[in-house]
Amino acid sequence: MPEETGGLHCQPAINDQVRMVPMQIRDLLRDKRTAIIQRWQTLILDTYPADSRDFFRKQKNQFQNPVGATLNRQVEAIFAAIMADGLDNDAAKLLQEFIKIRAVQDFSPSEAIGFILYLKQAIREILAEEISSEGLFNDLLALETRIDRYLLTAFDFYVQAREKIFEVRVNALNRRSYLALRRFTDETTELE
Amino acid sequence: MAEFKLKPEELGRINYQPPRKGWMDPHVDIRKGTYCYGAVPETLRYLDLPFPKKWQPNDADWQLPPNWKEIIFEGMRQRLNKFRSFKIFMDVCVRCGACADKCHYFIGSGDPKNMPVLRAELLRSVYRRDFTLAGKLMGKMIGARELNEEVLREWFYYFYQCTECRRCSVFCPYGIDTAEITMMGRELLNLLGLSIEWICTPLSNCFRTGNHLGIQPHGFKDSIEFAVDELAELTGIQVNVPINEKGHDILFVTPSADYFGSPHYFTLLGYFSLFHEIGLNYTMSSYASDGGNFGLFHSHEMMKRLNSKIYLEAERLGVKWILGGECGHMWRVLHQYMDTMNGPADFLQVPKSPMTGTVFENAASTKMVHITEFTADLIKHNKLKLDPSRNNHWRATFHDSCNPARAMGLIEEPRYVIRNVMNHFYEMPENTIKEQTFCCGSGSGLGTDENMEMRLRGGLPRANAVKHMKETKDVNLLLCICAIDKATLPPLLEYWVPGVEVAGVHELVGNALVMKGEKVRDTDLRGQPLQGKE
Amino acid sequence: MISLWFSIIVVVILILIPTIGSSSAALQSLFGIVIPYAAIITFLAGFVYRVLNWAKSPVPFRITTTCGQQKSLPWIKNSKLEAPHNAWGVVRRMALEIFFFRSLFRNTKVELRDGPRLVYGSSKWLWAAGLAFHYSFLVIFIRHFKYFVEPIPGWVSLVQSLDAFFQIGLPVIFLTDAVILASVGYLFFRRLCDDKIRYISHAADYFPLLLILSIATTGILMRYFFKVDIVNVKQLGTGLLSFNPHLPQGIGPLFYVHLFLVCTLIAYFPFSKLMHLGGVFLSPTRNLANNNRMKRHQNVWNFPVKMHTYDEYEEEFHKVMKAADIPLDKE
Repeated sequence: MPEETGGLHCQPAINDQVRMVPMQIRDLLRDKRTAIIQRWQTLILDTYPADSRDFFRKQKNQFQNPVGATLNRQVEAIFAAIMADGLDNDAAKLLQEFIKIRAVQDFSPSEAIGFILYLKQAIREILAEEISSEGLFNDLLALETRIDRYLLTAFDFYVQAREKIFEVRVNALNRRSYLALRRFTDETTELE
Repeated sequence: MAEFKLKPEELGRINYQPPRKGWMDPHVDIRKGTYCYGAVPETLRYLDLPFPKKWQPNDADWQLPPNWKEIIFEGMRQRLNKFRSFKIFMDVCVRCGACADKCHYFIGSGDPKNMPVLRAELLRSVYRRDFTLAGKLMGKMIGARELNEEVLREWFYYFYQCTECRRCSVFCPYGIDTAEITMMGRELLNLLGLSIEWICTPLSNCFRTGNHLGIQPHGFKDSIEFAVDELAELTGIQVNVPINEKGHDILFVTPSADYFGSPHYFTLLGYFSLFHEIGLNYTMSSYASDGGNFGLFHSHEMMKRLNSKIYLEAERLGVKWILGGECGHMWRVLHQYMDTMNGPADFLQVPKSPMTGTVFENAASTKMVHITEFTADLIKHNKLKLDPSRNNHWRATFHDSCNPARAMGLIEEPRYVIRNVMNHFYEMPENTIKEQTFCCGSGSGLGTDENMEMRLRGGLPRANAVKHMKETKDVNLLLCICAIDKATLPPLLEYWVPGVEVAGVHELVGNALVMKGEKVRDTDLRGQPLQGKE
Repeated sequence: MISLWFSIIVVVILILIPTIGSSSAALQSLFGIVIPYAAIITFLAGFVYRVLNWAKSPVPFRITTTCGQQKSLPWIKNSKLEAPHNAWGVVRRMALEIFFFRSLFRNTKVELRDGPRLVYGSSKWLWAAGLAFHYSFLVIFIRHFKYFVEPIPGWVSLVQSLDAFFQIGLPVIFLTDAVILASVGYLFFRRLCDDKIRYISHAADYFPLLLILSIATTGILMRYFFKVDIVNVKQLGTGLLSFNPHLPQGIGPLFYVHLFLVCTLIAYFPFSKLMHLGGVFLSPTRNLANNNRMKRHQNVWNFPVKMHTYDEYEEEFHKVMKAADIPLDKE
């Protein structure tokens, strides 16, 4: 599926007025990186039942805890993407993997991808003081526009994942009656 | 996927906290994509099972008989008296939590009721209240609760979210086996006609035609002949597969998907190549045309009813012993239940390989040998001419199927075969294989289409380890010895790890096997060009 | 959380009862003699009943959980402990399970994680604390023999001197006193702090931990801080054991609290999850050999079921079988 990320989503470039995140807020983001990422992760984990949150957070072995491991990696990757010029292929792949997980968990579509917006919340919370004292509202808008774009990318991935599920189901049904289908085709070819 | 439930203005709502309730208040949302369809009444009627009805799990009214609680209690009482396992497992759990994060459904879904301990507590809570003194006195404080319809829904939802893989039982200090509890839970639900279509339809098919797919004898023969013809095209060798013939030494029994589904079918071609090459004197049977046994997923009684045909047929055909193909749950039944249920098989002989003279002492009573035991013995005695380079287009890893690993201890035999028939074989991380193997997520009758999302969740831990192998070793093939795996791992990998195929071990045996008089082989059994022959 | 508070309140009440009650001389014989006998009788009767009740249910199938290689071909090394194929293997497997908590230990493999770095899984703590707790409990139990028999058997003294190996403090500190507090404390706080474990915990899980914690604490208080007249205690103990009980005067209320809590634990035992002590021996997934195909396992209630015989099958499909040239029994 990585191929399916296609060039399209990797470089969100539609009318990109704010290709770069402004310097000043970018420095702030870099300084408060850990705090923001942690807050964001917490907000995402809060969408899981209270009793499994802890497990996703603490179990570090990626084979025992794929959900948590993917979550950690993708949170870091998206954050890095925001700092850099855009979602590179690796980051897109990580985002896609996380969306694939959420697409088969008990979430509505909005819940499944809405977690991206929680980054806005995390940034506003953590940088509230600096933003108002230094009047960085324009910077914040630019930043949030970028986050919005990732939300759209996530939406694409979500739809891809859902489509994939149906494709998988159809293929599974075909495999199940492989021989019947083969024989049917063989017979029709013979008749022709 | 959940139904759409947030209003647009709530979309960005941040402080979403799920209600923090204890698990004792029964509550379950039975949502589309996460449950299997209810059993249709015709199948239950055909099998003489109680309370057939048109019914779906997300119906508001489950059409329970007025005395349904008494039926459940009586059913529990009987089973407590018949199964020490059930009684012990109801009593000794200390809720240490060692099992909690061992279940693939919990790991994949995060639903706390998928922790094995809690799955069992769903049943234990009712047991405590009505079968123990402490529960009667102390009630909720010690985790006792009343049986009601909501509890029954929970049972249904979560006992059909357990694949009876027994991984938790490996880690439990008391060996508590959730598979055993799930089996009891399902048996109790059966008493009220609450079962699933994907189990009961195969059951009635199997009871009637001898296989879960409901293929009638002539269809069975057609399929086998189709395979024989294709094998002739692929190898230039005309093999002979006797059906229902008396006077042979061995009865070969394999899961029915082997002669119907893909990629199972290629494993079947592998078996036929092997049997022809060593000149095995065997027959297949249309009556015992399925070693698989969905009875294991339904009830001990159905298991016995379906299993009976194997010994009956071996006796009728007058064979000396039985050889069994690649299948997981089939082998749990054959290894742990068949002899007890339908034995003793004293009309058979202790299995002895006609090629190597090896006597399979480990099957001295049951008289049934696993195909990988048989083939490993052949290879060890140099009875096969193998060209592993014919599998050079595959870079493989091996998925231990739950039942052979945790109910038989069949671990090294398939690996020995694999290492001898191919050059690029890599093991997955240690805590995801052998006795700690992760389930495909679709075992125990849950491998149905409508349940796909739940299966994709449950299979995530397995897929994740495969993904790691793809990333680090460029693996493109997942080997297994289970018919359910062969049906359910392909969709799992298609979703999580595209680019990795699934195959049975004997498909690769068939590829590597150099047969006397074969034509120049430039394709594998799938008809794909061999490396260097593209 | 209600269940936690419930457990705390019950334990507090259990402490208050003897604290208040034992101050009256008349009630001392109740706490010193009647209740201990009643508790022991409840324990013995209850324990035997539970075990017999389990044993009454047959083991219809041999459902061993195999955790290693089966015994099959002679040249494949089988795992005699993890998938035993005979009684001797089972005995050793059970011994590992009972004495070393083998299955809990399984979790504790060293793992390579992100980084890469080597880390121990958290469940090693569960294994370690569980083992530490059970063994210190056993040692303390053995040490207490000295209050019941005279002369003190040599092995009891040996256990005691090993326990006091480090000779720290006066009176000498027993290792097990520290270990049991630490391990039970860990097990208790683990239940509180780990979301998963808290979710699955009942009062029946908190209560025994708190009870044992209180017993250990009162015992330690008596040994190190508020000294109790050992001679009198021993008189009571030997009297109880020889069925010739008499009540020495001047044993402080702290002792009665300790004794009463122990009696509660003993009497509570057979009705609770603590019965895992007996149950672990009877678990069919562990105590059966993986020799299913070698030796037939008998099911005492094996019963006939409705089968679909070959004759019925051939009758139903006779026509199509004949047409397909499949051999038939009846032409």
